[in-house]
Amino acid sequence: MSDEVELKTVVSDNNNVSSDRTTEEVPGNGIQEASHLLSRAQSLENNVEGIELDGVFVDHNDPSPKTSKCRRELQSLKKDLNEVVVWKIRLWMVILLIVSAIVVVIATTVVVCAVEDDVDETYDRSSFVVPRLFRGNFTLESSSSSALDQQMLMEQLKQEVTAVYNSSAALERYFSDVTISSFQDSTAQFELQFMMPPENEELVRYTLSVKIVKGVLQQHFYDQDSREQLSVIPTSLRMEAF
Amino acid sequence: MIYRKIIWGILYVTLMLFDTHRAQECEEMTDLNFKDSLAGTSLKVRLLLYTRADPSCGQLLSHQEPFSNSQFNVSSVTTFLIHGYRPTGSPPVWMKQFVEFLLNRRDMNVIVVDWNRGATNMNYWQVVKNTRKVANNLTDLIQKMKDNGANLSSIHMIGVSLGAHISGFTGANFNGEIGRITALDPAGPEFNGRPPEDRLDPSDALFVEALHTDMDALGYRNLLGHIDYYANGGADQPGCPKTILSGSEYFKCDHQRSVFLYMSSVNGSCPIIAYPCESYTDFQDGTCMDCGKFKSAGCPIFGYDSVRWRDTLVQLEQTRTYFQTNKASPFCKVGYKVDIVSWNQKTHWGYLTIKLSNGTEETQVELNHKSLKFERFQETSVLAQFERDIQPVKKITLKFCPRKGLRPRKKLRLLHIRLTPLQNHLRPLCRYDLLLEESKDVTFKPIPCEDSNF
Repeated sequence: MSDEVELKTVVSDNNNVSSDRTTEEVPGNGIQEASHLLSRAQSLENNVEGIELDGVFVDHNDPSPKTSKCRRELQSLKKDLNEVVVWKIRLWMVILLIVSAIVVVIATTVVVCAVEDDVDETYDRSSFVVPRLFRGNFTLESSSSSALDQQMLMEQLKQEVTAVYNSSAALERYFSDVTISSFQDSTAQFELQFMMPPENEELVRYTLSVKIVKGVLQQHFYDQDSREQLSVIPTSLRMEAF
Repeated sequence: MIYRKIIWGILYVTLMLFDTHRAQECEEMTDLNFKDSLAGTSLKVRLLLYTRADPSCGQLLSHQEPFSNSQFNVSSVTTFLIHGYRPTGSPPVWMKQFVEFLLNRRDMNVIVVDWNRGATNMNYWQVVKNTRKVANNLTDLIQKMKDNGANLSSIHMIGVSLGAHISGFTGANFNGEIGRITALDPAGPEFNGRPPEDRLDPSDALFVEALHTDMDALGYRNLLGHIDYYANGGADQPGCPKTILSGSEYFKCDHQRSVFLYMSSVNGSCPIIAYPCESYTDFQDGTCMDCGKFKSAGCPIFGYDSVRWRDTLVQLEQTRTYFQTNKASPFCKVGYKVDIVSWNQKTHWGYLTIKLSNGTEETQVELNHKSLKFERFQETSVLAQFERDIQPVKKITLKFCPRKGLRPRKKLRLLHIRLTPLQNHLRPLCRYDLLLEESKDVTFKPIPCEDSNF
């Protein structure tokens, strides 16, 4: 708003401005602006009453100069964009190229990160050739064992233990087999077989230690609902490596 | 006839008692205002005696003849309660309850040292100068008590802020023969970095303990006693405002917390264990849970009961201890040492949230003091302090939030997690083989641990 006011005074009072310019009494900015506007105003056609300041038209009565001005600017922009930068390459091509390069870089990073293989989930089972064996026993709640045929029971226990190790994130890849060797007085004897890679020192100490292999099975027994058909006494689990 | 006499007699005695009771004027602490503070006050020390006869009624002790008051039992234990700088002139809000808690704990003389005239002054340096004078005044009284058969070792001085150094100066006048000095957030400004004779130090009493709650502002930073407690690290207290927008609380909350923590220990409702440790970071990492040097007694309990560890602590000369508290009473937290072994091939960094539940109630802790490092087959340990005790722990929920970075979604693969309760002598809780996906809750039922380690 202040600009407009200033501007109007300047236009309507030419003499004042020129005197200002010669005496230079008004602080810097005002004078420069005023003189600049004055020269532009003089250069414009007489029928154009409005004067533009920083792209804003002061006079709102006549919209025609605005459209023509727009057209002119558009044309100059086109001209600028079509300028040859080097050889046959024009400016707009260079801009397009830079923008697309940025997009490509972002996209590839996102894609690479998103699909990067989880190193912990890539393994080659055929390279696991060294067996690691455990044996042990556990006891069933007396009520749950009486109802079933012994063979069926052993088969069910085998399936259950297999399911436990096959759903284990840490042990599934190494798990190979379980055998329920006997079942007497509600107590089942079992043997577990895991297969390890040839380099297995750390595995034996940590992942395939008795503590973890036993813990995974034991916590499953603790998690069991006592109403389930086959209910193992969690504290009855014994296990050793051999 | 004889019955009549007895009845009259009882009536007379009752009336007499009533009369003498009414005759006792209860003295209050000097109440000043901000104007007095601006004008400055000159030192006047008043001694208010409280006993079990009426824990809410203070009686003025005369400096010349303190024993004229029949309730002052010199052969009993005497506890002095000494306040600090009073920029607003008001009496401390905690004083009455503190006295009640002390008298509730055991029969003793509680002497509130009212030096509000002298402590109320915008000029802090003038107040600091007054501390020596207050100490000399108390020295006179204690000397009189000693002359009348009081045992110096049965004197306990509890000093808040500047009051802590007053206790120190008084104790030094008796070559450290006074029984115990408790410094509650001892004042730092004008005392930090000073030699022992210009501040409280362990030689000022047979047992000196100091609680630090605002060492980055009004409190003292370094060790002052036989045992120094740094509550929540000693600088910022939970629940205290972090910006000046909260007004005066911003200035006094951390400092004043020391009094409330100690009062809670006198009340004895929820004991807080103080763990000896070199730094707060080590404490938070769970590396200072070993209490072996205190043998069967275990680590000291913070506050009033720490005197049980006096002999060991004096032998150890100076012990720096840490603990964490809740933001309000009950202040005690329930701690677990958490040990985790992971098997990811790449080292992972991140934060853990642990929630305990007993089926109806739950309590949660976010371990975000620093990002934890999970290295393949290496044990990661951290201390998890919960707001309250949840027993029995039926379900545990874990959440892993990786440290920020442009990385694929991470999964933390745990071989083993063990939560060892630090209190109650409960069995450690274990769980094996857990897959923690980024920012997702994993809930499981803990099982009793079988062996301690790999």
